[in-house]
Amino acid sequence: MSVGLGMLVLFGFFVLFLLLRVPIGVSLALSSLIAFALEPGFNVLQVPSRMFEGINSFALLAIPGFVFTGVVMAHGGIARYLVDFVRAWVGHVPGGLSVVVVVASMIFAAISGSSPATAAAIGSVTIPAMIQNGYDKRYAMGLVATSGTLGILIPPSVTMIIYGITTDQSIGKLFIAGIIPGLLLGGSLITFAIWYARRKGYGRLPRASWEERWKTLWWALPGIFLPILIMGTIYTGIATPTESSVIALFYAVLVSVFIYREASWQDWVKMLRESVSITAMIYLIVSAAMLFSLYMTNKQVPALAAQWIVEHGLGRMEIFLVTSLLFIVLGMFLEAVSIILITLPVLQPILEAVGINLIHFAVVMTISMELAMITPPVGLNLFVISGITREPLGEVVRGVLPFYAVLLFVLVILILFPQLSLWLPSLMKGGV
Amino acid sequence: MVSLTTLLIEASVLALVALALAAALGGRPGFRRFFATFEDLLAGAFLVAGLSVVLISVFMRYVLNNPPGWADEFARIFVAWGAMFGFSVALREGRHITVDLLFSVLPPAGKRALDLLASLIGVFFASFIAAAGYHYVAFLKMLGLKSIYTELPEWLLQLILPLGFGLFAFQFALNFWDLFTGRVQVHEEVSGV
Repeated sequence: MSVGLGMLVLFGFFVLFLLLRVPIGVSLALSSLIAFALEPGFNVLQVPSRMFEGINSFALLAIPGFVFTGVVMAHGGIARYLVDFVRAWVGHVPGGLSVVVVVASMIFAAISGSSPATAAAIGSVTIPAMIQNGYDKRYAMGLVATSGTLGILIPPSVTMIIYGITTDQSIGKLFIAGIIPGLLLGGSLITFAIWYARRKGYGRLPRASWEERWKTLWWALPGIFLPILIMGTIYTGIATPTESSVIALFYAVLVSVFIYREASWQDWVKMLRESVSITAMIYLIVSAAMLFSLYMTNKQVPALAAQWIVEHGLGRMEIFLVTSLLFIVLGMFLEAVSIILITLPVLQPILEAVGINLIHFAVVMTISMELAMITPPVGLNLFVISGITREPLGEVVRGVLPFYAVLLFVLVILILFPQLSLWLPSLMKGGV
Repeated sequence: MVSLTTLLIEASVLALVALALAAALGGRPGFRRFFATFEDLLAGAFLVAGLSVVLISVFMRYVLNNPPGWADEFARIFVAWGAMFGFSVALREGRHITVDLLFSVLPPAGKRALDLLASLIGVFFASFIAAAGYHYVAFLKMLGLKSIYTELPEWLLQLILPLGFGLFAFQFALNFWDLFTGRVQVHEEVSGV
């Protein structure tokens, strides 16, 4: 088959299976199988071999490690005490509940890696609370939908692990690269949310006493130490991201069992089942995507695409513009892990040809995919919020728009100033 | 080398077996509970074992100054086994991400038809990989390859391919009959939650 026809078969069947509501991982593998079967001399034993090879990776072990840590944080008490702490310290500021929403979302999403899950979990609790305190419903919905997307950038993110494995970049450096952009994004969102809430005179929570504040801080301390433990061990090179994830998991389990003591035996069984399920879901996509990218590489699509770009003299800014648009469109339908696995094998030679730093690109790509989650009319988080509040989609979209503008603004800043992403990792061993 | 036609026939037979077994056993709550617990235990044990090996190797490297050479491989294999046994757990728990674009605009009858079709596609797909995996493992056994660090036979390490995908096919078949007989109603779920 010619390259064009091959791609048509591959992507055509992929989209067809997706529309039939076949799981993404199965759709990826099936469409590749069909494309391969139409090629002469295809050795079918390559299929199981590649699928196993795809998930037989030490770096990939960081995913179950961090996923499990996230699940333990969410159900073992760490997340709850962290939210209590934020509420006690900033809840009395006008719009202070917005800070609680943003911070809670960042914590919850960073490790669960799923924007819709975060928006659903945080939204079902905080949206009613915000409305009770005199916040506009649109504002509450928009803020929760937007904050839910932050997690895929905040380290340790599953997205960055997959990106690092696919492009052969240091996962540790990718994590560190996400710190300043993550703070910038969260900070801009909080600043804007407070400014907006002040202007509209939204309500505030009763001021917590100092005694209560110190108490919440004391109880949140073990949780506050967790990100320091993860980033510290990676940054200093004491541990690889995989090792760091397991150390973090061990720590989170110890804290939950001996300090917070709120999870019952049944809760632990549930946590294990949840971790297994999320890990299996990601692993299936990773192993299936191996076939998908193998087919594209066999057809020399990456090389042809890079050649085309060079011949047409596209520069760095054009590439950023085109790829960001691509991710925003793809991100409305697929989640981040699949997008990285499908597109990067093709994009990597292009990025290298025009001299875009792959670590800088990881940050830009991730934020583009965050935007996709709240892009009307089909961004996933819009549906989630519309689902839990039982409000029409249009209302959610109107609420999201101002926050969308903030995210877009930060994206442009991060594209224009690579140093924001590259400064911290450039201080690490080996530079960038 | 096994031909594609042979594999397709074997996969169809396997899929029919999965569907027949699921039809016979799916309606027994006792069996369902046993099967769910069995899968959970299997997948959970492998995942915990894999992550524990990483923790032990970090401990041995820093505290005992003696990093074990086998740790890396055992960790990878254990977690791969846990994840692949987990395929069917995730399917039972509704964790595999799907795209609901077409689904969400269909009337209830259309939704049911779509999910029945998707389950059937899943049964055949997983059966196909299980059959191909079986031939691949047999091929590895014939070659007699051993892994580098642990010197365990490669075919044993990759035996999870037919096992994991076999269970995956069976769970797809259970889902199909659950929907078909109306034991489970189609309900709109938000993907990824």
